[in-house]
Amino acid sequence: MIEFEKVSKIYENGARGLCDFDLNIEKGEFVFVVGTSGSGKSSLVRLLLKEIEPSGGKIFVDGQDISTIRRGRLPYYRRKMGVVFQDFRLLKNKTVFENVAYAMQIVEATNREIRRAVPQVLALVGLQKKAKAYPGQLSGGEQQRTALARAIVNRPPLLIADEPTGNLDPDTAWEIMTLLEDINDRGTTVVVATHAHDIVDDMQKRVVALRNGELVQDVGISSFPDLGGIIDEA
Amino acid sequence: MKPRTIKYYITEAVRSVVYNRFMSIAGIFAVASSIFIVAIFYSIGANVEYFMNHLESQMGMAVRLDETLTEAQRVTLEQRVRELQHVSSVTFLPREEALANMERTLGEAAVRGLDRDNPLRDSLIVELTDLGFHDDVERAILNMRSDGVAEIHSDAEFARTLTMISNVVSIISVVLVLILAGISVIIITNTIRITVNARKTEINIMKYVGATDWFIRWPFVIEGMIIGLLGGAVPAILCWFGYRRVISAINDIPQLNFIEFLPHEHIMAYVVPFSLILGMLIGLIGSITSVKRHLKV
Repeated sequence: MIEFEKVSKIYENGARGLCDFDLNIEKGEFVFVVGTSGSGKSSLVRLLLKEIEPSGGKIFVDGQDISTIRRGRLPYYRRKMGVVFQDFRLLKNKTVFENVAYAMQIVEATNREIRRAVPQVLALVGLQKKAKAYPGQLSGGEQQRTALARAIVNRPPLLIADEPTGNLDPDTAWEIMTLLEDINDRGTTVVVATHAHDIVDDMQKRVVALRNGELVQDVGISSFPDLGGIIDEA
Repeated sequence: MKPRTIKYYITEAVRSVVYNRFMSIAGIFAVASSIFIVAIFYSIGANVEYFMNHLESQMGMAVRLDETLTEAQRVTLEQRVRELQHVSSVTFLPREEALANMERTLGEAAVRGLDRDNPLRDSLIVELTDLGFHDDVERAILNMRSDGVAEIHSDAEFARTLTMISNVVSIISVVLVLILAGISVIIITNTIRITVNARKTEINIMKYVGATDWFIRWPFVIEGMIIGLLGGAVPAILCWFGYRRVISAINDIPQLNFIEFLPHEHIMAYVVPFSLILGMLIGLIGSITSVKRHLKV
């Protein structure tokens, strides 16, 4: 599903994002990307979103070398993935329903399709009663659930979450992680960049650890190590 | 583009105008005030030019005819003058009618006794299409002395001054309207840019969700056009109702009631479409250039 081949990213100010980074994520996997601030987590997410270009190496998503995607085709590439950010990034002048529906409107779904799909996905994230509320009227957890609903409403094969629990209390963070696990159970590949030590420890998923832009550990479910050291540095 | 997508763009644009109402009002105000100033200068310029043209049309020249001229020779001469370039009309004024005009202007006492021994000559009253060619026409007519032209009466100096004033006013009004229109575009584009900048997060979100540039741009473009159109409608309405009032106020002043103004419908035929189209264009250009900056995500 995702393949990083000797990927490097050096920013204009000389800062190192990633260095000779190799990674392979299979379809249907749930992967945590962990590391300190400046370790390269965000660079990885931004490279996957094609918000920035690598300085070297190649990235393949669903078999396609994403460096060959022209700017005009970028929106179509991004529609293959749902994205969830730490700061939710909801459209504040739209209701919960409209925020989720927006992702369908951009792919020119019919009103009937929107009316059918949005309530279903809102029910999945437990927000069916908040459909008419605006983001400003929601708690942090509810806003993140709205963002999750928006990310999955078009059933993308890949979901990327960048610090999805960063602004949430522990209980709400768990709710979000449980939702991400449910989404993964339905066949979606999920990549979560996070600092949340306890969640990473408890969820027993594959963990990719970064330090100074380099891969320092890639631990499968069967041999889950104590990653506290790496994460606690944050 | 599917009809439901167009409907979506329009709905989004209208909603956005209402939702961001304070910025919308600021945009409408910027467009309205700028276009209003342009419209006022256009109205003043057009009216000055109209008044000058009106004066010009009344400033002809009187060609006095040789007293020995026969009727047939007079008709031939009249025809030759009419065929000259820049001559708009030629009217024959018999000496009796000239005397009657004089009596009307100066009073009966001034012409008493002249009816029996009329000292005036038959004349051709020549009006020009453009007073700027006064000297050329005068020279051409003077070359017809052998055909019965005795002399020419005209105020050449006044004609030249009037032409100069008319040309200066035309140039000044065109330059002013262009400068003001340019300034308006800059002010309004910046106002729209501020409104769009305030929403760059919104544009970024749309990009991350996978919206194409045009899917993001259209609602902003339509929103800009709505703001521009509303901004253009304000000066159009103000001019529509204000123009008559200003004219009638000026004409109520006895010293100024000789001024001829362009008719209301003539001015509005330019001001209304100009305001609406300029407003819409400014909104369109402003929103397209402003959104463009935030689309590279």
